[in-house]
Amino acid sequence: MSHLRDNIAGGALTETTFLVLLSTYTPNHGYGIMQFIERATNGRVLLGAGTLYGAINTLLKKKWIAPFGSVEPGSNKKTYVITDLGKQIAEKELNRLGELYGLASRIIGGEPQ
Amino acid sequence: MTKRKRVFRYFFDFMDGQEKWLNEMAAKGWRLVKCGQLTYHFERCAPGEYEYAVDFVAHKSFAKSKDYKAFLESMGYKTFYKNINVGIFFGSVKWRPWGEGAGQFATAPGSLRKELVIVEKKKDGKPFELHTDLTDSLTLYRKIRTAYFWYAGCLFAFALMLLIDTVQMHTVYPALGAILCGALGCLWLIPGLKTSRKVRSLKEEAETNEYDAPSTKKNISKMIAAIAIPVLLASLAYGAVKISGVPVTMGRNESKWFNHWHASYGEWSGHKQRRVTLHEGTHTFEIEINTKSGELDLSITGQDGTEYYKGSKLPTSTFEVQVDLAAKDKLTLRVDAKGHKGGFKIKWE
Repeated sequence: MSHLRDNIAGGALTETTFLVLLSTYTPNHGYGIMQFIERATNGRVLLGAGTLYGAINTLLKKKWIAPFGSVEPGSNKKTYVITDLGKQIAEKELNRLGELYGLASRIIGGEPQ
Repeated sequence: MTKRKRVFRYFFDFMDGQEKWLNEMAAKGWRLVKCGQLTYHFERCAPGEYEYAVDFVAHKSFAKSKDYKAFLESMGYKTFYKNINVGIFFGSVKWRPWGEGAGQFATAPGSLRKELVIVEKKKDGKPFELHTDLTDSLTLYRKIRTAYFWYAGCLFAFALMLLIDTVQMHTVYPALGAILCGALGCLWLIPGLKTSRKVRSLKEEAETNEYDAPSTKKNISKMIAAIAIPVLLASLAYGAVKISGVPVTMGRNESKWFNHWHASYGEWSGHKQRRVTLHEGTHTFEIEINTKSGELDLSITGQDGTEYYKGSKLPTSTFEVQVDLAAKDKLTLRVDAKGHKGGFKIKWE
């Protein structure tokens, strides 16, 4: 449990984690997640299948995402969806990034401090 | 033009070396259709139609590695299991120091000889990498490095045992084995060092870039342990057998060469003989007997039954026997032992 609290309090998610969370706001399977991330970042982030597999399993273990529905018959594609805990984490990250964005804009963009 | 072909090959450099070769084959228009322990079966395809990546799964339990393989298939890739370990025995178990949980033990049937997954993708112009995240790559490369070092370490341990044999038996056969094992060990050590360099550069990146640190403290010691443990265990086990005088079969410590016959054992009962063809003239047999207990008899007889030497219940001693031959003869050297502990050395010219 302390591990979870650390993550909630500690902040910074890896880019992979955050993108996978965002891609499961609507239920999605492995291939769909990969496609979503590629499209959403205009091809900047091309997630390797091995890395994606690791990320999905870690997030399942942390209960930030959960299996969704049953596996489609005749297909081995498992579908995942973000949990309430996952959404909480993602919102926290959004706030953190917002703060960082504001700070960086002021300094780099030359706004008076 | 042939449509299919089979290629015999084994990669000590099982990650980068193997991947590079498969991609070269694909560029030449050969698509992998099946792989055996030492073979690859190819089928004609358009040059550059497919590309390959080799992934390491030897740290995963069999259930997890199968789940991962199924996941890769669901992503639209074709996958093949590939071995690092070579063997034919079912019911074998191997310990993997770099394994996770149940993945520390590999069995056949099971995850043994399924250490790698070869992944095939239809080329689409986008880079084909399975591990793109710093955390993920670093964790994986550390395991691969340990595996390379472990395999190298095991072979160095063999080489060391054979070197001890060489020193004890004054013969060249084990030394040749030692050189071979040492060389094979190096074939694993080199990619191990390359992987080590990769780990170091990823670690530098992890200083400034996003990195979700898993516990890393044990890694250096694990790496050293991978080489040291097999060497240590092997020498201990070997030393224990040598010192304790546990009955060892005759063959284990016997050495035959055109001009000598050595044997040492914990305890031995039975008889052995060998035939030596010598030209006419005077020949000297240098004999060294080591008797800790029990009885040892030795005889040297000519083809026609002439007894050149016969000694019974020989004590620990060193002596010479002269044999005068009027013509070329085939001599029989015969050793009889009754609960004999020790050994003997016979040398001639």
